[in-house]
Amino acid sequence: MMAAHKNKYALRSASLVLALFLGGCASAPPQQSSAPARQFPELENAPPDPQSIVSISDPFERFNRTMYNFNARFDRYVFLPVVSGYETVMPNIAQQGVTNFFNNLREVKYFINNLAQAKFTNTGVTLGRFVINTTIGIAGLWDPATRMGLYVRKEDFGQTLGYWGVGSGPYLVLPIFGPSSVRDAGGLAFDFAADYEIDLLNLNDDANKDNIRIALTLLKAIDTRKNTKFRYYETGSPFEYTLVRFAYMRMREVQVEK
Amino acid sequence: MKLLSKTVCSLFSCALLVFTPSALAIKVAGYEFPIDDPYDATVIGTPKELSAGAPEQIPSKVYTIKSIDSLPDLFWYEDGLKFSAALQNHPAPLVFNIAGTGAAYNASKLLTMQQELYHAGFHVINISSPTSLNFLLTGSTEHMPGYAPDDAQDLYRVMQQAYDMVKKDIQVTAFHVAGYSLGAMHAAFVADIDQREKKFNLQKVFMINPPVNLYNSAIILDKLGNDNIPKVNGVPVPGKLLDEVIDALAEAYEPDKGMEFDNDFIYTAYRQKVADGTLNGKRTSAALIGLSFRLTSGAMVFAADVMNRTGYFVPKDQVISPNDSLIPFIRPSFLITFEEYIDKMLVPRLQQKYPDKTRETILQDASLHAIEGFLKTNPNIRVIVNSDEIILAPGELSYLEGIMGNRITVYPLGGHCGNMNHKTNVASMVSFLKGVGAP
Repeated sequence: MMAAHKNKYALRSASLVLALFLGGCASAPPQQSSAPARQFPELENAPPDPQSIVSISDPFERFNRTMYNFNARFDRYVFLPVVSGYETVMPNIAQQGVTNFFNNLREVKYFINNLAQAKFTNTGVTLGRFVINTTIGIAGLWDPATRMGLYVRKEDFGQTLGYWGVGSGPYLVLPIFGPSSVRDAGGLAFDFAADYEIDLLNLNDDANKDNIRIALTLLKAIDTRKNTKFRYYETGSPFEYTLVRFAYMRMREVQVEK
Repeated sequence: MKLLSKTVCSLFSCALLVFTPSALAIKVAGYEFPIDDPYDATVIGTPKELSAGAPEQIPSKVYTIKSIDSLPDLFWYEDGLKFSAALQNHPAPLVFNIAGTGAAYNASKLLTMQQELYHAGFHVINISSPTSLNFLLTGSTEHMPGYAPDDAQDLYRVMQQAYDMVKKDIQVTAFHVAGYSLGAMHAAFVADIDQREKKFNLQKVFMINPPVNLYNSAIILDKLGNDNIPKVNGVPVPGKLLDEVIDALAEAYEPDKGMEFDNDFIYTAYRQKVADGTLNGKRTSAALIGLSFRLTSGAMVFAADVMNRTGYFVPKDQVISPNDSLIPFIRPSFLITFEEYIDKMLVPRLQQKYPDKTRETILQDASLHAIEGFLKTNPNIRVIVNSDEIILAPGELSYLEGIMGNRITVYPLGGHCGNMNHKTNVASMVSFLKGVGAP
């Protein structure tokens, strides 16, 4: 299960750079003067078990929490209202078309990363999906491939790194994107760069490329948020940050294995 | 991730509890329910094919009632007490649904009740449990829930505020109240208050799997956690349990076949694992119920301590900023049982408020015994329970049967609320609230 941890320290230098960069965010520990009534001697002698929810490596916790709260506010006051407006204005069939369109563009990422993990069947399926959905599915607005039993084979560069033994590194909350890790953030940057270079929509030669790119990025962001069920501060636990952190890191392990 | 808490929360193995027959209680013949372990039933719930299955899409809206107190920065994200209402466009009776321990207005069990009742023609308002974080922070006068008479006062006020916010849009022909688990107990206490104050003139009370005495049930659930959550150096490690469950589920996870690791998958895979007997030992469901209860009580203890500056385990004068790590409080909060919360925080506080009450009278007043007279004589109250209920102490089921007589239905299986979505159960709720036929 934890094969990915062989090269646990491969990202040490990256973490170090980040730590220096984020160092300014840390501040002195909160002062406490009066000792609480209840003491927990049993915890003093028992360091958290590595499998404990609280044991996820999170040296940037203060920065991450700040970012988590920023994201929650952004979600509440900007992102979700925009998504809700989009859902009101756009007919359902058009919304589904937009979702399918961006999913079809994501096949490029899935193709590269299936190939990079030597998952050749999945690479073939991904190619097949892309061809079918781009042609029969008319530029990806429909998804006939899934109906034919060719299910999407999602892989990203974070998973590819994990597949080749790169450990997740510390937990990292990214602005807007939310929960991630040092490895997965790097993976995200790689996937973005690849997407830009491959330039499937041939934007790089277009006179209005910047405007088109901004519009597409915004639409993609709205579509992605619409299809993500997660809502900040809805778990009913004051320890949500820590629960989400555990869930994210654990879920990524499952994804890397599969 | 919601699914962690939701799955864990909506989600246990020992022999069936001995069922003491009673002369009057209604027994259900020919009741079909496929899960005969009460802990598994509690975790898995009613399989789709036996569920009542009203469509999920209903025109329900979420409303926010202004918080009664201003909150510390730590809880910046709570801006008021949330409730949801699904309203008919024709005159109809209105049902208030009250959630169980730690659960909010949008908990899946309460949402299902709302869908079923809405489709049966009722206006439905879903109210969070006073033990949920949102209610504790924004709707509770004491910010220290667990004492049913006071919690019911808060609920009664919130019900009025909620109704005030929607009444211009609807015509109401009668008011009813329903609830599951702790919410069922709260429903009875609220109806008792209403009998005196007549703000709603509540007609009917439907109680699904109520505790008789919260203290007794808390001890049972605390013990479930203590006995079943894996321990390292004597300290329970919930992550270990979750790791085991996630690993078992991951075996069944085949993304290449179009599966998503979402709530539906977890539900189906867990049910399959239980059916195959391949989960790590028979105690997994019991452990998950114990864990869910512990997470709920930990959340409650922490929030109550911070809000009241009790100094019980959060230092009194410590100001916690929203960006501070809460790790120093998470492990301790997990070691504090609900029983400890009642004994060390709640009871001392109540004794300050009601100096003439002893610990015993406080616990008695917070149980159904306190409103026994009301329960015994009122023909418009119905209770449904299961003979394999896991949260009742010995003798409590017979007690319920004794005071309710022919107004209680005892189903043979379902554990704690595992069968509340069963078509038979839902039909009995709807027909009782509609006032037609025998319960």
